[in-house]
Amino acid sequence: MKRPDVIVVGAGAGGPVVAKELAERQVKVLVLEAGPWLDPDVDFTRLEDDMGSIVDGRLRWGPTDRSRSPWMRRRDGVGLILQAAGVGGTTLHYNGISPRAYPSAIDADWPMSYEELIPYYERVEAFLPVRQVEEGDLATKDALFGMGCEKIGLSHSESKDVTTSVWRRCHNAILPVAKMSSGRPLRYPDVDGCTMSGHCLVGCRNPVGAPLERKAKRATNVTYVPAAVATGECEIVPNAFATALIHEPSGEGKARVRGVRWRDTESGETHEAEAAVVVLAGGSIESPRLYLNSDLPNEADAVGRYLTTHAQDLVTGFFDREVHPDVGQVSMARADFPGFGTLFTQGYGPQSFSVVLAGGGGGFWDEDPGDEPWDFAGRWWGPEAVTWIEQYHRSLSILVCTDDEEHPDNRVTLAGDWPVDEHGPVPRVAYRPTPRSKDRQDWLARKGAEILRAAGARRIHRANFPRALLTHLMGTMRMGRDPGGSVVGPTGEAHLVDGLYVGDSSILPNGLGGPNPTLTVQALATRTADQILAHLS
Amino acid sequence: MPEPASIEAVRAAVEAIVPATGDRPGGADLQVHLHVVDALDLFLPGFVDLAATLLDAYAVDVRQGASFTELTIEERSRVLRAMCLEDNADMRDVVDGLLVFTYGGMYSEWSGYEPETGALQPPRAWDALGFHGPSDGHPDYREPE
Repeated sequence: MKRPDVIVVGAGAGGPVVAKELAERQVKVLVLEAGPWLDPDVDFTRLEDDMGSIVDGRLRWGPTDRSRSPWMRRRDGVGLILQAAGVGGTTLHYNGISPRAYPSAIDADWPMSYEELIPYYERVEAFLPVRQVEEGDLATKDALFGMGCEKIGLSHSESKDVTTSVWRRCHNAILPVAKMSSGRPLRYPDVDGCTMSGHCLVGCRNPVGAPLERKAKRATNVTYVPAAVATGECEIVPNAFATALIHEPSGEGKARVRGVRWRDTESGETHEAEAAVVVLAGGSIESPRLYLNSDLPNEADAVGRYLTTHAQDLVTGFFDREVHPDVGQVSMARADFPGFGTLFTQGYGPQSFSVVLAGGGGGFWDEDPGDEPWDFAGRWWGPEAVTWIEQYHRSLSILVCTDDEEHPDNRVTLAGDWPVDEHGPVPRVAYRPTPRSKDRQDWLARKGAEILRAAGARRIHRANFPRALLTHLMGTMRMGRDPGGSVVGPTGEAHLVDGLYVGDSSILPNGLGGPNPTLTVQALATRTADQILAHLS
Repeated sequence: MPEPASIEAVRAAVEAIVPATGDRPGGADLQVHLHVVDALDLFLPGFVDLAATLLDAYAVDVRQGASFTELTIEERSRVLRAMCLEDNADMRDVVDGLLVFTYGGMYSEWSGYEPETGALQPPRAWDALGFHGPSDGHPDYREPE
């Protein structure tokens, strides 16, 4: 590409949104992606370890060559970080859940109102599209969840805008359930839509034979990326790990961005490109890392702070009936509790299930849970663990997403005490829930257990992770009016770097109250693209 | 490459985490320890030897003079439990690594998958779990009550 107008660093949830919105308006966009560009029909084996292993899975955070080690982060208080490198980024293995934020969370901390966000939500919801799971289409696990919610007195809602405690069928970026019948081939165009195969988390390629635009799960690799490329104005470069932002002084302690330097992760060659605008979209760890590795102004030491994670946990119920958590969209029903967070069904394969049930929690199964509503918690091994893991087909897990209180000490910095890697000083990721976040997490776990019990679970387990599970990473380049407590202003442009915008989840000023962040990231990225267009003109 | 003795220590840990039950093979019978070793070694070269050193160090607290591989299954379980209780990030990574990759190898496709050819022989464990494996879809997605 001849000199681009805009360089986007990262092709995950947000970067391709900015790219598509700008390219459609004749802006030349270069998108750099650290990971590979996988072909769902060829590369998505639908196998849990082959796709999802954090060490050498196709959807890991690491180089395309899987015989090489994954890229390292120094973790502090953090157990597992689930991020995927590659075109599509973490949307390759997200659940497709696309709720809006709680209005109360936006109106409390953001430099804009919830009402102002709605038109951007609507643009994303129409494009992907986002659809509420239809009545009658719930899989068994989700129908059980809904029944439990009804029994504890939660009212049902169809609304996207949640202000009180309710349960809902999910609003998912997944095509509606296909019309299927046993014995007929499950192949496009005989089936068109979601085939309930349960592969959202490991990379979905269904329906088999469908072109990208009819793949059921609407990750950005099958939506925003092809739309951006189709304009003829956007080039995507995979295996391109950005190592520095090129900049120059612009007076009064500020800088002006001029371009990006990157390293080809396969050849090792270094490249540079210049542009008037650069958009950081590498996620809440790599965006601050790149900023910090570029020696850009950071007078208030705001870069990297206020990492929020939703302080996730899981509770699992065991039933006297078949549930089959591998069947259906992995999450089709949810319960919302503004002020505390959210709960949703979590389907998965047996590898993830066994790790959640026995491999990663806090405490041990044989410890007395006291007055808590679960029967056992934490981890275990040996013959008893095997017996319970084999109850997989009769289990239902609920994921806890906490309204995570933001704190400045939860942050991404450079790990000065670790060796650098081929892309410079590596990030240190520090996170511990505040006491208030922990209280909310416990409240939600108890509520989840109450729902499971009401739905008929005879035994309940809580994972109770002792170290944070990071799947929803937010903040670190947060938006705000005050340069002392934020990195970018209300337009999405950095306070101290002209022409540098943020288009990923790091821009979020808080944890949205608990709802899954992808839709809000994409709505904000749509808005940021509008702001960039104004900047360029 | 990890030391052979370190690989043996991992095998002994896998044997304690997922033992054979009835006529079902345990993790070590399915060579799951090789999956654990490969994963830990790729995650951080040297990690397997570190894990083995720690397993041996804690084994002494359970039975004086014994290495981890010399312990009974029950004694190995006590070692794992003691290590879990340490409030130390590296120790937690070791224990988490042993548990997570053992369960991962046991219950994923690993024991029946040939990456070079893409051939899959569904692991026996999937039958017991009622797991369907890779699927084009589930027309009958609601279980009868």
